[in-house]
Amino acid sequence: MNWREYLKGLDRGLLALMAALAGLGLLTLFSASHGTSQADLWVKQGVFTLACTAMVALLASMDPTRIFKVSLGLYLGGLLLLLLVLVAGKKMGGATRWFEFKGIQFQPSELMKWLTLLFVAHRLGNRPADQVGIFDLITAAALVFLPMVLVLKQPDLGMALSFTPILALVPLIRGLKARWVVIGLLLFSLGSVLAWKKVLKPYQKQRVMTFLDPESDLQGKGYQIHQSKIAIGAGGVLGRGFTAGSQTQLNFLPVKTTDFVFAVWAEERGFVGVLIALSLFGALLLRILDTARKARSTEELYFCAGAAAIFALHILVNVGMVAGALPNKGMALPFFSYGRSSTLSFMLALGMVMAIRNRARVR
Amino acid sequence: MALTPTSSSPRRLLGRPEARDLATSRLPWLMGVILLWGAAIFTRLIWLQVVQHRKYQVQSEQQHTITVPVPPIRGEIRDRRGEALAISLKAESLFATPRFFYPDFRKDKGERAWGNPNKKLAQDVASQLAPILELPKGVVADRLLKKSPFVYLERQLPASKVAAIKELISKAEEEEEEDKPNGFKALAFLDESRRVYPRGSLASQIIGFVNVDGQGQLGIEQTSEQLLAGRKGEFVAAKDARNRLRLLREQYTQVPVNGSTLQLTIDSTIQHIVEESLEEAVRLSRPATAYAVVVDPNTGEILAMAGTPRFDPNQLLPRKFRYRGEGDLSPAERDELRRELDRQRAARKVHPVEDAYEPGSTMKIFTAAIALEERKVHLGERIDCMGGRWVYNAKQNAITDTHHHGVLTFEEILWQSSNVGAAKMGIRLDPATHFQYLHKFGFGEPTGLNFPGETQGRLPIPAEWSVPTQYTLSYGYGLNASPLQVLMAGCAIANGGKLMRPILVSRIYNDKGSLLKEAKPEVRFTVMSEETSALMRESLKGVVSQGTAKKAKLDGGVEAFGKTGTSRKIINGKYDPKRHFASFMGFFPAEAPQYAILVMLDDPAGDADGGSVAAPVFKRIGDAILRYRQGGGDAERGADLKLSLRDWPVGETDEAVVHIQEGRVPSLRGLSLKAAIQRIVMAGGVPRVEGHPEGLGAAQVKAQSPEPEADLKPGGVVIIRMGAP
Repeated sequence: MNWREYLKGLDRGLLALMAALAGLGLLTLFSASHGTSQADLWVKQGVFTLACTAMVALLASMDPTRIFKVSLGLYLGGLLLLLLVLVAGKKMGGATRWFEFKGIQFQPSELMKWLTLLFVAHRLGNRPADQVGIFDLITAAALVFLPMVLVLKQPDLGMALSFTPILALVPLIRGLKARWVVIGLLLFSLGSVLAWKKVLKPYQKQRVMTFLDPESDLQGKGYQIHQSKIAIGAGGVLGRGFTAGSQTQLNFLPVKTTDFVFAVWAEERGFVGVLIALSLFGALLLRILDTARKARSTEELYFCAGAAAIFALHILVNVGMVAGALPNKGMALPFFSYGRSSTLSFMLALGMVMAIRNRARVR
Repeated sequence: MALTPTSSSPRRLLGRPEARDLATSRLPWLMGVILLWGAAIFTRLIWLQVVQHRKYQVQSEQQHTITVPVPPIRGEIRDRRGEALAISLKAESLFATPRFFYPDFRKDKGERAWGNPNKKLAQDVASQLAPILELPKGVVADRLLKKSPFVYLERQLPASKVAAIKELISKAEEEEEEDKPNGFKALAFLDESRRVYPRGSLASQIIGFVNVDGQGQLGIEQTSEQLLAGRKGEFVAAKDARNRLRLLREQYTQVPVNGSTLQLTIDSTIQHIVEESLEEAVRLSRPATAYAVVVDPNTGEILAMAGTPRFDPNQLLPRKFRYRGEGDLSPAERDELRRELDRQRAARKVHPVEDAYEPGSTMKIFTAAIALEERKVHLGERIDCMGGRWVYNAKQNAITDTHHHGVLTFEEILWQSSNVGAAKMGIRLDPATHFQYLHKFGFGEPTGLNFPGETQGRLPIPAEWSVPTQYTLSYGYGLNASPLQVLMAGCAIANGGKLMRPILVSRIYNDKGSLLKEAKPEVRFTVMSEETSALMRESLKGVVSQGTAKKAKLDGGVEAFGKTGTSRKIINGKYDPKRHFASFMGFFPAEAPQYAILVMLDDPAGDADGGSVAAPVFKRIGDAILRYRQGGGDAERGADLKLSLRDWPVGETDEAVVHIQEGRVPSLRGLSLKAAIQRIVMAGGVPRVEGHPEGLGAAQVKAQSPEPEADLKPGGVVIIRMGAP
């Protein structure tokens, strides 16, 4: 294969959407870091995104079956990294989530959710559905829960939650009966109570409480959501103009290059900008789901459906949080939030989707 | 679109669909959930950005704009030659927002619930600040935790301390961690100005002082508060989340107007002469207090006005008493503090305008002048003084003299200060006329000076007069007046018969240096004719040359005239024969008086009459003024004030910070007066200015003491001598 062959794997539609979203993301990052000590953040992110695009092209030209074949190894490797990070990771702000090497940080959990999806899709989809028993479903759920527990250990509740869409594969495979829904809900509420009592850390409880009544704690944790709401609301229909949002530029908006980056866009570009960004995200999701429909094998279909669910969860939780409609979870917004690990992971996932689409097209 | 089931996957008999068919049919469900969720968030965004946009826009504006007050610079007070007596320097005050140390603080419907403080955090900040502020750690911590929205930690800090604290704040900011609150965020600075009195205690009772809020408290600082204070300005600025200002441009909603500069009629050299002479008099005669006023009789301008004791407005309270409650002091210190406060209370009394006394013998010149003007008496007329004792009415006390005078001429009555003679002249007058004249001399009326605490004295109207009133009024009892009133009345005799309004503020300049207002000499009444005035001047020369005030004779043959006064003090409602007001009012040069001086000693020890204790003080003051005038002291009125105002080098004062070390005398030679004063203040010293340069604008520091680099105790005096470059 020469280099032209590599490029053939790239799907034009997905590539255009990626480029558009990455473009908006870089503009927002430029504005968010404008005039701060990290004014070159958008350059870093841009260069990294370009580098990732090369890897996307490579991945897209590969046969997905070959990737699914090594999925067990990748999954185990990922688990090992999650274990290792608990031991040798760098502790920052009370959590051990990162490896650090020569100043470059890497967060294995970001990649791990895609590796988990890959392996679960492979296990459930590589044989006829009638051979998939209840035991296989339980195993699949266990395969998801195992890394989730390790991620919770870090602790990183938001990240752990982003593994849950993989579980949505199960109802895709077997039609869910009403009683299961009831049992599921019961288990969920029981689990919530247990989680509140035993698992959740005080800061997480604080987040939930803050979510329920953000105005109660304006100077503390509620501050972030409160400021984000002001930023979005003050943006209005047309926005305050590029690099002219006072919430952003005067640092009222917290963590504005990562978790709350969308509020920067919403403040400076207004509802019109929000409409554009969300439409692009919607088109991206449709494209992934379309790929699922066109997929040649069940495992490919599962992967695409799971990918769509994970992307959707990130987008909806992040935008919902920024808009003050969901608790402050710390979930990255694809193509907008600054971060190498998440950018790499989202793009590799789209590379895999492209590979699936490419195979469907070629055959 | 639809996925065709592959032929290799047979459908099961029970009709259960193949896995991929099922998945495909369920994909829309996934899409549906996403869409529903998305729609909810979309609605939310419409709510925020379209429906409630205004509300959030207002909130955003409110939190990122701040109205910055721009304090005006208080105007200066200068003497008649432009020498600075009170100036304002820029200073910063440190304040804290205690709410920061109360993590549970919340505001519910206007009520504040404080909750428990984070004591450790406050103490940590306090322990770092305390050594810089030179305050006990506990005091700083208490202030940080005060349940108030705003608390001053220390006001008007020297620049070196400001720099040290700013260093601490920026260090704390760098080391800031997410979960650890940074207590230094509670601190901020406020621009204020600090009042400095370059001549220390000179004319302090006239000038007054300002309190820590910058409001005038006494004297000119109080009476001219409106003019000096200026008007506060305001502009709206953007601030960031750390409360730091982002000044895009200064958009004044109200332009600040700096205070006006007042030029006084006071001549600081004469003021200095008077103050020194009074202290000498206090040493010699030990009166309760001694005071004196010097006036230009032709214009009514007050050239000097002083009293003992004095105070230094730069150091109102000794440093060791600041910020300490009564309870913290040892008994000895408490006594010391009380004595100090008593002393200051005494020192702040401006006797020449606040005290009303019975003028006594001084009054005789007015009786004589009125009688002369009314042609009831003529020069050389011989009047029988009854051997010093006159029983004019069997029911009244006799009028007595200190000496047993027989028949005296009109002039001799004044020279020898005969009560009997004065009374005999007085009663020749019609009571209504007598009263009318006294009224025109200004008795019983405000002088028009408008000084705080000024008394208008008391002159009974004829309807209130009893049998002896006209007799006693003639020699100075039965009425009372302030020393300034008496002196202004005396000036009417000296200047040809005009009662002048006393003037203390001669010119008012705005902050740009242009003249706003000039006080012109104002004649309140024409009391008598020029001839009478001339005759009185001639007659009164004898008081100095051969009468009761021989000790007032000036050096160098300069003729003076005047009148002594010795009046008994009323103690517990009775005249006490041993306690007196001893005064001398004199004028020189006799032909065309330029200086009118009233010296008053309240209750002197030993020789108590005005001739022996007050007249020598007059002589000391008069001789010194004459020497000063002959020695080239510029007599020219209104030196180049406008020029000197413009020449205050503001830039020079601002960059001075770098090399000034507290506790070390700075190098001052070649600097302008204001720059030198600023440096001394920054180093923790008290400036004292000597030397009287011509044209102050270009003056430089010529010499300083102590020398640069010497150790400087807090409050230590640094003397600078000014001169032409």
